[in-house]
Amino acid sequence: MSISNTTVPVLAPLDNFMGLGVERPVVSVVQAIGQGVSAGFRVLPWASPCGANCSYTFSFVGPAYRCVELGPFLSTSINITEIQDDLFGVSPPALNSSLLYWAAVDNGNETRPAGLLILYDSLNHTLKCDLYNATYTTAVSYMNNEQTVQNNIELHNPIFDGIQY
Amino acid sequence: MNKTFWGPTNLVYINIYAGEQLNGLIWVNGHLQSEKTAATKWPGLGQWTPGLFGNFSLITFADLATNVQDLLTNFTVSLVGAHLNTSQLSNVTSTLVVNQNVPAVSTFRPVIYAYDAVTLWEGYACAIGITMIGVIVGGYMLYRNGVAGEMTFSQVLVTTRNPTLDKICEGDGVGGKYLTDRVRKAKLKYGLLEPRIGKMGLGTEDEIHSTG
Repeated sequence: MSISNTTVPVLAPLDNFMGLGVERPVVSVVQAIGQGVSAGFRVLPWASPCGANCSYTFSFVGPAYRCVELGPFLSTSINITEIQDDLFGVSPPALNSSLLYWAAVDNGNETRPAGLLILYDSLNHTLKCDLYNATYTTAVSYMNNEQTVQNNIELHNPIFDGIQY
Repeated sequence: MNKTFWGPTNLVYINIYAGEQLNGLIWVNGHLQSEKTAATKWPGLGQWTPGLFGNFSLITFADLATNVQDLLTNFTVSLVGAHLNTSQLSNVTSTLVVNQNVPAVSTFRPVIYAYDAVTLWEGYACAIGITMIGVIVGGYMLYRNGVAGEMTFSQVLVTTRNPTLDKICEGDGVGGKYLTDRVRKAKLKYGLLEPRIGKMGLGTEDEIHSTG
């Protein structure tokens, strides 16, 4: 076993980087990654920068969700009509038991964080996921080039008024 | 470590891109279920039970609170592996992925040989068994023939000295396509040709004597 300083790829601080919404090549790559992660339900691995059997840890800032189950939709105080303008996605056809699942991106406002709103199981469950700035501490390990990733996430502040960018 | 947080544009768009995998709806339309969402292809949504005519009859939802959080986490971390052609970028002031020096722990895994008597004897037993069969058959043939033959011309020459064979071959000196049926169909046998002097060779079936 040996410890050595190794150059590894990490996510840049995307403070001034406008690529995620502006640069077409970046958008295509990021959307493809989103689809890949969704389909595989795991981190898309990258090549080991330190050999076939090694591990390293790095930190970076990025977005994270904090999701809370609010229970049956009708017992929540969420007024979909009020927040409709801030939602990005398909509107629900009817708010009754025939609605098995409905999810929309919530761009938030001055008082409501951006994130996701999901109603499911015939309105028996309401999931609100708020978008946060977070610090990731990510441990990456490779065993025979097979990657394993473990994240420790420290949430900072929720993101309000996301549409006002 | 740089604690500068993501810019608002990037936050809004990562929320939209993550939401693209989930937004939309599934509803009961009469007796059937209809879907208008990519989430049905997301393993984190739950367990579908296939129904009649290729429709889905029932869904058991998974722990969405955990799975949705994990989706954005995995999405964010996966950006580290993004392969961008930076020559196509124009309006950016930084890049998506940077290199950083960190301590990495490397483990060397040497090849280790372990003795296992059973595994060893499996290989040896096969080799010894096949060799013994060859030795026994070869020894018996050596005993029967009385000599170890060779695949040389001289060996062919001495084992084909037989006046009967000369007679059969008479007139077929050129060989090849001029060989007669008499030669082609002659049934020959190898064995004890002349018991008196112990000569082995090829002859017609009735010429060869038993060596038993």
